[in-house]
Amino acid sequence: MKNRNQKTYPLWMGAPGLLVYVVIFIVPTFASFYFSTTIWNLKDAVFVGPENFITFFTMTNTRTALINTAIFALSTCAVKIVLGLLLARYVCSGIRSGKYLKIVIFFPYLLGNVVVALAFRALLEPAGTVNQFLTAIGLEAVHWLTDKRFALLSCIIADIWKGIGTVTIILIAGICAIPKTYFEAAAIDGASPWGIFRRITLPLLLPSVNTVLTLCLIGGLRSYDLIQALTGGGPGYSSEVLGTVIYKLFARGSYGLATAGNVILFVAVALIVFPLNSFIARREAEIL
Amino acid sequence: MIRKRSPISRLVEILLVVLTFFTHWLIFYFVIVTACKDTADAARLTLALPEDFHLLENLQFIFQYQHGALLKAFKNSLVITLVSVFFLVLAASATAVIMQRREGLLSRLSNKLIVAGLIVPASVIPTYWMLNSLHVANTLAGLCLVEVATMFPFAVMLYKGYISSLPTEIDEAAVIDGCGSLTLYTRILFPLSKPITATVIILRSVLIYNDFENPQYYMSGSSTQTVQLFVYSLKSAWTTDYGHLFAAAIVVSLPLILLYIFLNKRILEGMTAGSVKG
Repeated sequence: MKNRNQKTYPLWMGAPGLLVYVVIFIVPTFASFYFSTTIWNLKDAVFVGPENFITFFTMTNTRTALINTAIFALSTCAVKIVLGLLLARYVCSGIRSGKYLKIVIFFPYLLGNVVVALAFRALLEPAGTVNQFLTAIGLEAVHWLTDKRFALLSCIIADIWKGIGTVTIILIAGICAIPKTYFEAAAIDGASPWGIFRRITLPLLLPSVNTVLTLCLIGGLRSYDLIQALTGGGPGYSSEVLGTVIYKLFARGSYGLATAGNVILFVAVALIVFPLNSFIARREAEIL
Repeated sequence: MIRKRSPISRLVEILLVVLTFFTHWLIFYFVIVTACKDTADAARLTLALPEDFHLLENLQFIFQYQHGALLKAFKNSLVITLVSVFFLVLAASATAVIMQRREGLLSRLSNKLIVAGLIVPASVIPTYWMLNSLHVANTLAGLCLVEVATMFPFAVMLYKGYISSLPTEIDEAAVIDGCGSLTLYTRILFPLSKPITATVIILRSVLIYNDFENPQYYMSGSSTQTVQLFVYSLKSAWTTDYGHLFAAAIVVSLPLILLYIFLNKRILEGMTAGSVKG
């Protein structure tokens, strides 16, 4: 019987895909652990131990980048999920404009990050449209992209604008999958809308929330294109994140140091996402 | 049960729809209107209609920019997207069939590798080094390999989840009828997975066409551009010339906007299918 199975599903059929994946993705991932401890010019690598990591944590630009990455990932994630939850719950309550809202909010997903960054640059220029509006209603103009206090915030806003559609769509699917009878029963028992949301919708939505949380966190930690095209990490290092710093180190040929940055990103993602997933899986098991 | 909706709920609905006017339509309008303006008019960054209609001149400029670099970039992006998605579908579905159906240690081991790939970020410079040693760095072929490899785990998980819902009796019946393993895949399992194939094609095409990071890293040593790189280089050269920049942005985004107009239902469904983890 086993023989039959092996004959019907021969290994060679799965091999090409796995081969490409292992050679182009897995091997470089493992290689990065070695190269991150070297001074490297793509040909020769000189082992230097943990020096790159020490440099990475002590240099101002890289340290700022680490902090900014954390702020960026957490804040975009939190806003996207909270707004997404509210929107999704509302769209699922059977309103007439639900389909319209879904289509419009999701649309920015189809645009390239460079294109989104371009639009936001024009809107957020010192004399741009947003500031024209602010001064027209009597507020002070803000240097969104050139003021150190606002550059990262501008990137966060642009990222939320682009990414909230995905989150909302996944949460809508999650809410719509909850049997209507639960809500009706709760309503008959006299539960308030907030009570229904907290005691029925949210717990049953945990698998979707888990997916969305994981996606957002990973996306936020890895984010690069949008920030590179919007501020390029500036002014100064004020909106520098891991992605932009790694590219700068790559461009100037500090391959070993850049790879150390990549390994830090790898560890951060693994440390956050794996425990988070098992934590939520435990909560799910408690509820069901 | 039909419930009467409260006035507050109606009010919130109206507010939300009005809000999308400011957060989305106004931005689209601004981009389109600015693309129709000449340089001086566009530089004012107002929402006013163009003083004179300059869209054709702007389009002419960006298509002639650097001897038709935009058309070449379009061709490259098209080739990368089609080739990558083609091989991705082929490789991922075949691997998923073997991993789902074949018993043994190897399937379980590769399963772990694939799940890890869903989460872990790619390490860019060692990947560049790998492409270099394979002599495909800075080539379209190398970029396609990277796209296939990075999209691979997600596609395999989708196919695996779907194939696990197909009863093994189908396979057994086919084998008894004299189906070889290749025929079983090409004639039965692959055609049955059509919904997943559609999802993978649509969603991954969008990501690959819009990809900026991978081309920037792995094509950095060549003059070959993709459309996203073209817009980025235009932005670096003409920082605030928004008339030209937005004309380019619209042209580059047009294929996907058209796709969305015709296939928005499919795309939204695919998004949620993609969120179900295997």
